[in-house]
Amino acid sequence: MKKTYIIVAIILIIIFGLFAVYKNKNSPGSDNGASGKIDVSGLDSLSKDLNSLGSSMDSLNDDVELDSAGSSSSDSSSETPSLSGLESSQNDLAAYDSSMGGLNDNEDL
Amino acid sequence: MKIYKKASLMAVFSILLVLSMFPASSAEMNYDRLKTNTLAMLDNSINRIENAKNTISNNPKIDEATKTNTIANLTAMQEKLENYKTEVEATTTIVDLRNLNTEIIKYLVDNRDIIRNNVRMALINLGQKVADKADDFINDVEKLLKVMKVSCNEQTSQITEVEAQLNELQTSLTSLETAITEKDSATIKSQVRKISQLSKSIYEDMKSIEQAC
Repeated sequence: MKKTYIIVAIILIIIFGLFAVYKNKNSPGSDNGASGKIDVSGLDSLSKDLNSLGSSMDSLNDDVELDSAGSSSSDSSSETPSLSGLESSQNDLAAYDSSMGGLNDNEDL
Repeated sequence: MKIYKKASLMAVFSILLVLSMFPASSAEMNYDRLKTNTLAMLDNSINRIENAKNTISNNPKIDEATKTNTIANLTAMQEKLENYKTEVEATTTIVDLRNLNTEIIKYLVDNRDIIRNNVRMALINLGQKVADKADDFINDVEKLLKVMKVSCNEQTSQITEVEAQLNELQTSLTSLETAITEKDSATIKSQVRKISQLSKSIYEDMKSIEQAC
């Protein structure tokens, strides 16, 4: 009889043990620790950070670069051409236009 | 009666003497006139070449290599004409002068395009510089527009307007490049004028967008 109690007790211990292991494995957040609770506040903060980073990247164009040809009329300290550089180019184009005025190729000897 | 006979004979001799002098005097007049005309023709061509040389050398936008090349061509022609002038001065007979005059006229006809060709060379040189400059200008505007589309997105309609002008500028640039290849100086000039006007308008619009931002 005593033997039977011992066997039943062992079986119960094994059953509770297995149940505890099963419960632990299938509980959400089991990887985070024994508590099984999720800390969503961290995710929320991360999400906000990502959104903020995304917005700040919108104004950054990494394909805007100084080309050597344009640098002569652009501000070399800036990554994008300046409006003053544009003005200088436009003035050059106007000067070329007026310099052509005196050149007439319709004259014979 | 004898006196009348003598007087008549003297008169006839005088008339014959005067008449005999006419052909020589006429030939001399032809020689002088032809010499003057030939020298004037040479001076006129030399002056035209000189004017073309001055126009090219005083143009600050034409590069030195093109200037050197065109001025050397024109100077060589000028020197040849100066030599002809010396030869004309050295002639002594109307026949020599006529032969030389014919040779000079042929030379001028054969080389009549020298001014045209060299001025065209200068125009092509300038056209190529404008094409390069316009290409830089288009690239700069495109880069600025990219930034403005993000930072000034409330100016969409003006940005669209600039983009339309930029397309027009690109079309003009393509026409200019074709004209350069075809050595079409009239189109080079007209497209350069259009590019100059469009670039001015684009710059003004870009400035206005920037101020509105």
